[in-house]
Amino acid sequence: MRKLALSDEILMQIEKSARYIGGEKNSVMKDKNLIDVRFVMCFPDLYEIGMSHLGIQILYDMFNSFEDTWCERVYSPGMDLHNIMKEQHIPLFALESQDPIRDFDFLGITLQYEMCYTNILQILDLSNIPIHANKRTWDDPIVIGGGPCAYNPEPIAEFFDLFYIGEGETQYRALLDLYKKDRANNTSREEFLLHASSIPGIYVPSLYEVTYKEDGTIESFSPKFENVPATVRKEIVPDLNDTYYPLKPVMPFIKATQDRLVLEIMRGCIRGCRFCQAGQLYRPIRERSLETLKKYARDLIRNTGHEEICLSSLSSSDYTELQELLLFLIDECDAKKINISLPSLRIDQFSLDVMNKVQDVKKSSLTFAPEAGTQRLRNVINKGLTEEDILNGAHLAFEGGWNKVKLYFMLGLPTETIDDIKGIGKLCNEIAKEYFETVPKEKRNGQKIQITASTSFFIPKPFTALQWAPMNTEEEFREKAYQTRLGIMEQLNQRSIKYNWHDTDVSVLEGIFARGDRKIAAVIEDAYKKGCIFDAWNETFQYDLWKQAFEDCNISMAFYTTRHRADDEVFPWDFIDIGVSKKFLLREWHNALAEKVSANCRKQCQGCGAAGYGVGLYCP
Amino acid sequence: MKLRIRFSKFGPIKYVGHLDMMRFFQKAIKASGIPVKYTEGFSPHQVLSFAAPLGVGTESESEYCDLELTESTGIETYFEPLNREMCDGLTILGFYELPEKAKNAMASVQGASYRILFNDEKAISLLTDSVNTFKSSDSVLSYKETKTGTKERNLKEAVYDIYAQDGELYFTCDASSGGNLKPAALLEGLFKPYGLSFQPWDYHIIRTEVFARNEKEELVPLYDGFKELVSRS
Ligand code: SF4
Repeated sequence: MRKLALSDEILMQIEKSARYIGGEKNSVMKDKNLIDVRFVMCFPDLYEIGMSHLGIQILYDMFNSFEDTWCERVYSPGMDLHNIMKEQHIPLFALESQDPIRDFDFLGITLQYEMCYTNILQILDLSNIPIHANKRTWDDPIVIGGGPCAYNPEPIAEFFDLFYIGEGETQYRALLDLYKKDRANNTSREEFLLHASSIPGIYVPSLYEVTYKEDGTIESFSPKFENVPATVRKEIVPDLNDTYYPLKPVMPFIKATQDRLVLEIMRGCIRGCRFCQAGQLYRPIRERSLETLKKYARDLIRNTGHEEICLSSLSSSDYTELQELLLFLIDECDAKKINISLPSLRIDQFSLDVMNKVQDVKKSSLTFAPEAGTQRLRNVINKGLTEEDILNGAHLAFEGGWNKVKLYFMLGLPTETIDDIKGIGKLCNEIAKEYFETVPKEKRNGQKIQITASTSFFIPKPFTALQWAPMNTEEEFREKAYQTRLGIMEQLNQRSIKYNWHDTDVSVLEGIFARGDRKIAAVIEDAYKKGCIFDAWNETFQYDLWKQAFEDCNISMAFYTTRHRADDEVFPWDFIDIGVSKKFLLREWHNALAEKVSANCRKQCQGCGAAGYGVGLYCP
Repeated sequence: MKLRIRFSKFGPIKYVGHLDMMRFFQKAIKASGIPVKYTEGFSPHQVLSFAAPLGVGTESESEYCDLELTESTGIETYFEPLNREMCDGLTILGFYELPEKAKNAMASVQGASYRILFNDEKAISLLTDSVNTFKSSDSVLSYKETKTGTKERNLKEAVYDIYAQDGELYFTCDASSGGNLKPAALLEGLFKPYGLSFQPWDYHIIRTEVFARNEKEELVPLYDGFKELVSRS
């Protein structure tokens, strides 16, 4: 029987102790004496969040398919255990072997959202690994970051030895081979990092120097040594049918946030919404074939016994063989008694038929993401959805018996005026009107139309056309949420409309980290020392402490959020080449300001640059 | 037909709570291919019932769950496949066929037996004495705080058999839905006269069997009287 790192005494006192015991079905045990590289993969949030993430499962599967490597997992301990570990000096451990993290060769941290940054420090701190990369020795693992936030790694650069830019499936083997060779040759840690910088997709922050202008923006960003590349190009998997996929995913004992099978159907998105970072980062579009997906689905169902399956992609309606795939899944899942959890689909007769088959119409709702209240502003952000599309879709659905509609909007988009904000209420009202016109009173069976409008605050992200845009101030955000509510209350059908919005504090921080530079690291460290942790969780987020940290570090928040950026500003993330050119993004930024729409990849290539990878489905 | 599954649970998996165990079994059962019956409607689920919830931190030599099946022949061939779906620490011990009208596992439970190991030297040295005192008393009262006030219970009525051996405690007690006795309550009653009290990590509980009552009102293991389809030798 495996021995646990924590005593019964501790495990009996803390919440959900099953988070920390490992041993889940399909978790991988190896003999550590027979392997060369020990890798531990970390998602810096609670177990049930981290276990829901497909990316880690893919890499876990890949690493463990290497005979010389054993990959394990670690997540953020909950606050109860965190405090016990600090008090009793218990080092953080990996779930499989229950060995201390510090004993590993690599600690890989996935960066899925900016608000996990203090939890990275928690992981390093509890593992007794120096927080600053330049203080580490060969007694410490190589700390490597990856995932969407690695596309602007600068705010957390000094905490990492390496970043992996792009999809993890392609270059890890080369990195591990280099590591084995260098360790066998007694190479120094610095020398190893230098060698690693020549592997495609690998960014070694310590090998670059940044200088700043007087106004605080970047003057230059350049390698310290001759043979270190000036730009790091994103890695992608050329063929999604010929790569790793976790067909035996680890099955958590406690309920993960996403307790279901995941079929990743494609990467990339044809749409080109100007606010969307993922839409650019994962270009060009690549699909998994129907045949591959059928095989994956069958294997996954057989291997896991899961009761639910879902599709994963940025815009499932754009998958070319969606109809065939859904019809296959409906058949297969009906026979095996598995629920299909549908992604949000463009509403048309086909998607309504599918929804009708797999969901209870009375309980399910239609989802639209117009993102902005008027066509003018939707043109600014290049969101192709029109009011007509929404009303037509709603009309069809109302005829089919649906009466719940969810709408998602953003506040604070560039060029937004009060008309756009009032447009949110108006659009909701039109939908309610459509319902009353479509469904005569005698057919409503006592049902009411329920419209839920939710707004989030727009945060400009790197590698989007709106990366130049100033973000709103907190006051502006609050005022806009208030105006949205007033706008809804002015409507004839206001009683059918419910309005939800989030608070602004987290958005401000997220905005700072998203477009932050190396100077932000000091604030993150200071905030962690002040007690900030689990910032993604409402109940633990401490905005006052964060504000204090910015003040103490003498860093202006507004510099990163509300400041106007010139077209030729050097951004902290410019050294990363995601295949989509800055020239294209700038053109799109100007198109946005001119309210000009750009066609999607399928209709007409916009020459974004991602064609350079030579594998895009619609690229010339 | 209805199938009763007997299994044991040891090691770190004792920290997996009752609801999570149910979810684990649902998946394992599905993956094993047993022809299990599902409810109708939009989210079909298995007709699965567990006997007596096992507390977090407790190991067990003998646990039960019942399952409704759509077929009744060849069920024993799923014994090994189901065992392969278990993870470290869980072992399927036997399959038993229940008649259609049999009460489900949960409703059948009347008693349970436990074995308790102590980490505390003092408790071990006082054990035989405390058991003897318990046996010779007419009543040993335990108090439980409830919403409606303090409830008093005579432990003597809830404990059917008790003895100490090699510093370990063995007992059989009421585990019915109305009168389930928690091992911690008994330990409190046993050691209170000696001024000893325990934290849950001062001892280690193993449930050794779960019982129903037969026609003669005798306590018998939950599998007793049913046709054994297959079991671990
Ligand atoms: S190169 Fe053209 S088709 Fe390819 S991703 Fe860019 S815009 Fe789309």
